[in-house]
Amino acid sequence: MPLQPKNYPGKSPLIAPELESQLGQLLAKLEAPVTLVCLLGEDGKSAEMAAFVNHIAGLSPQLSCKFLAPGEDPDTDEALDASLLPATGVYTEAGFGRMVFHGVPGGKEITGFAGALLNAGGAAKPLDKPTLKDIAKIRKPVDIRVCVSLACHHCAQLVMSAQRVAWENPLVTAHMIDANLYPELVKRYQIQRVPLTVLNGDKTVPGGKTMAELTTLLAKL
Amino acid sequence: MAHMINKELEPFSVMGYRCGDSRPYTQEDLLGHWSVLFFYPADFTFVCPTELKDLSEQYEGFQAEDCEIYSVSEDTHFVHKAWADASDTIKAIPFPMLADPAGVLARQFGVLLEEEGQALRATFLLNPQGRIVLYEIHDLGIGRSAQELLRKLQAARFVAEHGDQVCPAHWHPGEETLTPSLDLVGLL
Repeated sequence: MPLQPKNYPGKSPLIAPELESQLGQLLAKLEAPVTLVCLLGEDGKSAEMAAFVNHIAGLSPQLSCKFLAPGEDPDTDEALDASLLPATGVYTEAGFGRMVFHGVPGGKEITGFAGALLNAGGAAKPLDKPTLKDIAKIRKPVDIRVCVSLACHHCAQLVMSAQRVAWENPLVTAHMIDANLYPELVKRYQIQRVPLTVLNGDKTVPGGKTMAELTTLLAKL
Repeated sequence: MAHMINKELEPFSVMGYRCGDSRPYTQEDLLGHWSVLFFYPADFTFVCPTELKDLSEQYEGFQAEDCEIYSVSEDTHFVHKAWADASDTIKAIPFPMLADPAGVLARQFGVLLEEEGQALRATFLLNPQGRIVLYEIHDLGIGRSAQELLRKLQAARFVAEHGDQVCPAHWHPGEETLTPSLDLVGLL
């Protein structure tokens, strides 16, 4: 039976009234429809994410959400990477926005999540021309996976930069991964400190990066 | 109470025993690579060989991190040798055991119990420039973990190589999702 948002709580205990108010003010800036597509498993974290997304989607008339189980739509499974559930992708009317969140973006990561919504909704702060030029210099497909912990402020800033690059450059996809939820990933990449960025599945880059450092790195791949 | 972080190693010369050989060691021996100074109260005690054995077993890991271990007690190098002759555990220790009977090193690092003539259980990690980047000082009965020390060494090397743009990932399975906070809202 297809998953339905109405089958999950409409409010998340993670979003306190003060945060809800702040998010409401930010999301009021959205100028275009944005859909959050969630791939959900049967685990507790997926249920937590469903409530989180339901709650966020209720904060703006421009926002909607759609819940899928893995296997229901192979294209979505591939785009969002169904091996790391829960996975939430940001979509616009034009399609996949190439910004994905694995796990629940609590802690510092709420900022990156809100940033992704603003990107897709046409409400992000404009970038300066040199930065846009640097982003345009990335001419090969890049899959960016930023492994984070939710308490890490370096991580949140890097996720925001990566998501913005992905939004601006159709060759780039950016994933935020709450590594705490995926011990096999931690083992595979021997993650002891975060952020750890994995590029195209094999190149690992430790530590925070400015937007300029990130775009320079990506352009050299 | 002043801390010792970033304090530079001062000149010293002490004898050291390693795998059957003895020779003088100076501050020059500790430069150019990471160094652990591992103070313990005295040879021929119980907790000390346990800790030293633990360090021996992890020695390859320290070597892989470009780090040499120097154990230090207020015994002479003759006593170190006698202990090695009497104990297979001590005989197998692969790193230098420094002899500090005059308390030169223990005083320099502030861990000498003057009345007892023994050092506290203390560990200092020095970077290749001879500066202290971390230390821990225990009361006499509290043992240390080589594995934990190795983790700290790896963290120190990582920070030295990559700056401080990282956070430690001390994850615990089943950890709850952190309550979100929009404290980076200025970036949006």
